[in-house]
Amino acid sequence: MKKTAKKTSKDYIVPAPDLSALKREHQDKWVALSRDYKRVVDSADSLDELARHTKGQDVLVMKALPMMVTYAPGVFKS
Amino acid sequence: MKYKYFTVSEVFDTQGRHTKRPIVEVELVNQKMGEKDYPAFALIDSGADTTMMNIAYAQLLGVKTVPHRSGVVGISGAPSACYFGHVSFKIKDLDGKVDLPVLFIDSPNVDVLLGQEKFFDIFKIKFEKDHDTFEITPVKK
Repeated sequence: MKKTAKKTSKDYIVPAPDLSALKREHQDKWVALSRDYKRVVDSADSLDELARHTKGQDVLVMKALPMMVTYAPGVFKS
Repeated sequence: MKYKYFTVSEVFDTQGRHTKRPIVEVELVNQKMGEKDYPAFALIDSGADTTMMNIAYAQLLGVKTVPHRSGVVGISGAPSACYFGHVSFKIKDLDGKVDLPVLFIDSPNVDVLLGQEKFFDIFKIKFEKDHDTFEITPVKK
């Protein structure tokens, strides 16, 4: 029988989130996902608007970044 | 705790392979009395000096911020104004909460970045991309 590592085991690896529910139309929007990540509950242009739309719901929020964006932020003194 | 690298759909490296990023689910603690915490994703960014978040989170979480005398500069070199505050995070599948100094920035390209300051001091971060995993271990004091 194949052994499966449990969360308490040091062999356990937290799976990566499957964000295949996110589509191109969500780029650059604030998105609320169901807690299993399988469903986009709502999206909006601002986080404030998204929070109002999803008030009381158990959702994960994120900014769906524009595709092909990479960056390397750092701090400088003005 | 070990985590699998996240595969970014529709973003590819120079060889045409899917880009992978060390992203972990976190719980952002709401500082408004009686209001719910927010689950979100955070990118572990060893190239960021300090943890950075989109400015919209400051309002959502009721974080008190002050203008920071430093600006933030990305690879393009264009500086952006930023605001300083503190946020408590709970990292998925790790015990306890961690309070981190955060620079908030108004940028469409920033969500949540866990940077070097404090985060990399209190956790040992091990990137093992050849095994498709990264590891976050609290540092024993």
